[in-house]
Amino acid sequence: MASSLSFSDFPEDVQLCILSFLSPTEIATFSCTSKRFVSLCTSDSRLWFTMCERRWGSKTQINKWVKGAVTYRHLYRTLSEWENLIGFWRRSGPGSASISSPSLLFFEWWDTCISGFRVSPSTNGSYGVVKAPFLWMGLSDDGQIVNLLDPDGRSEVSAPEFAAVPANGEVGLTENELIPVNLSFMGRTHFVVEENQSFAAANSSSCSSDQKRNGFSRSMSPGNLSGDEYGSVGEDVSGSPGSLPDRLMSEIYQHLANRTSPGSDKSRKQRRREKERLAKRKWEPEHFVKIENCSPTPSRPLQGLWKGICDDMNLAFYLVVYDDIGGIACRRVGDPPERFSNYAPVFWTSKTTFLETPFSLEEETLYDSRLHIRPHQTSFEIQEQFHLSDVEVVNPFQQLHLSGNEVVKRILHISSSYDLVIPDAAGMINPRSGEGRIWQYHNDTFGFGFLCDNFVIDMKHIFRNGCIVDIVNP
Amino acid sequence: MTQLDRLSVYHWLNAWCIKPVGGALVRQEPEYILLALMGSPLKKIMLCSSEKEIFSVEEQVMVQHSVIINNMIEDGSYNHEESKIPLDCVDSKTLKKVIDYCTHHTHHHNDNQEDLEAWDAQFLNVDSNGLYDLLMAANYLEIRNLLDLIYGTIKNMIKGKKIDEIRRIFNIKDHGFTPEEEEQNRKEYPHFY
Repeated sequence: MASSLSFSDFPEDVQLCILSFLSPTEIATFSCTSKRFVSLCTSDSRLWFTMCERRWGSKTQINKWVKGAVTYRHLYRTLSEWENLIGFWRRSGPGSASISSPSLLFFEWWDTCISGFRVSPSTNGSYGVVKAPFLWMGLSDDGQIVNLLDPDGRSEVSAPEFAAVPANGEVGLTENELIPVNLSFMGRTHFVVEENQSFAAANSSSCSSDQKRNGFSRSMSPGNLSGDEYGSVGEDVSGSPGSLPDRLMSEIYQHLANRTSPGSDKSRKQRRREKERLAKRKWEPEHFVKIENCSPTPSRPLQGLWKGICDDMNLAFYLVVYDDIGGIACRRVGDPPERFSNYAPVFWTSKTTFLETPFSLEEETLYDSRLHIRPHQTSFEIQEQFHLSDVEVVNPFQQLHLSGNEVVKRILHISSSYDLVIPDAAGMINPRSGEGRIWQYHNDTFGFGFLCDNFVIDMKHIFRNGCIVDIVNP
Repeated sequence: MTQLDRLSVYHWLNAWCIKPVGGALVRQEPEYILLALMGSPLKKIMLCSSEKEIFSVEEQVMVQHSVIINNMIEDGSYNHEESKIPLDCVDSKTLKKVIDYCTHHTHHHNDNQEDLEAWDAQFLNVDSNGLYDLLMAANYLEIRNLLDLIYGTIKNMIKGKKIDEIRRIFNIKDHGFTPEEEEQNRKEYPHFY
């Protein structure tokens, strides 16, 4: 290409537009090419504002994030890291029993912050979903990152004031009982939320200057041990095939986090204070792992997050994942008290070829004879819905049949369920007892059931077009 | 079209009176669309280059792409029978290319992505003077998708290049740094050089 394209001939708004397409590294390069461009490349209110606006202007109000001493350049770096949060995350690890720690989180853009909501099934037996505030992430007037955690999810659903955390002295609760926390990334698909006790900062001899500058306990986060630039996104640590299971990562982290800083010989007084501090913690560190692939695709129609009413008549959340070896696994996401973990497996299948219509008589009978588990309906609602006269008796089992069943498009075999298999009287285990079927419906949802029972659990979408549907009040 | 009930068509159009124009949303009044449909669909407008050459082009085409021209027609300052739109900062050669771009993208907007991209690449195969003129024209007429296309091309010219190459491409003869400042830059960002 001929080389007479004169950058300086462009009007300034064109110059800014061109620069706003570049990455920060390329802008740094460009600023070294000529002294005339240095001021342009470092102009915060024009260039860096345009870059923020270009990337996130449609999702949030860029100019509202910035007040006081915050620069758009700082905002760009912060949002580049936080952008990764948008979407669904699930808790990894058992969760602390004392404070309600959510098992499913949903992060979305708000006008002046990013907010994370805890998403849980409603307990009224319908398909409703409860969405309550959990985490608010924003910037204070002087550029500090302020993350506020709502331990009970009962506060108002509106963005709080992001006041800076004081660098010394104890951090109390804010007015609406939000706890200041730190959110540290460990790779792109894993983060930890821990209480920000910058009270510790003033006492810890080895890293006080760092912490006073950032209000951030650097020493406690393994992601920062390599001395990465503040806020940079490191290599993917977990979530890739062959990576460590969640529990192990969490244990490694705990070990590193509780290590005493090198070279600090704590006196007895300091050790006692440390103990008191730990006892006063209002929030234990929790780990969260990203749920990639939250939605079905044409080639993976069962993939994603779903909700369904399971056999105990309560709503539950399910996650269906396609793995690398051609299998499909379904796990339950949530905290039912009787289960062992919050990510319990439900079924898996290795056969991914669907049966198409016309179905064999055996398959049709298998489906038609089943009851679809539906939400409880009062007899009044049933009378309204189906125009039953007073004379007809509303049989509680009949209601399960009356709300018309979905039309099946394709059928898939389930290889096995994960429920305990109980041998029969002769001590034999029926090899077919774990088997079941997945019935994919024409409306692109599906239902599943096992051969050993007579139910179909119908799956519905939790969210559509980026928004959670069927939200009810808790 | 003339046999359809005008009122029902009006109501149908009312529901669809938002139309994307290269990324921006532009309202088109239902009466106007109706007229455009009822009347000649190939209604033309006249554009006049800086060299006083007149180009006749479908109104639909320009209105879809250029925010400036769309605004002129919407607020009624353009009279179809008599006037032409003077574009004093765009020469004939560039104007012709711009019209070419808009016409192709209107008529071929249903083509698949690869074909369109190939056509765009071919379209931008011009020397840097031509690119500069196109950029100025697209900026003046506010043709969003052409602008983004050109910005993307320029970005690729900068991306991954070392500083001397960038200086060569953009004709930066005198960088204006003192020897000490240049030394400082080299120390701070050695991999850029």
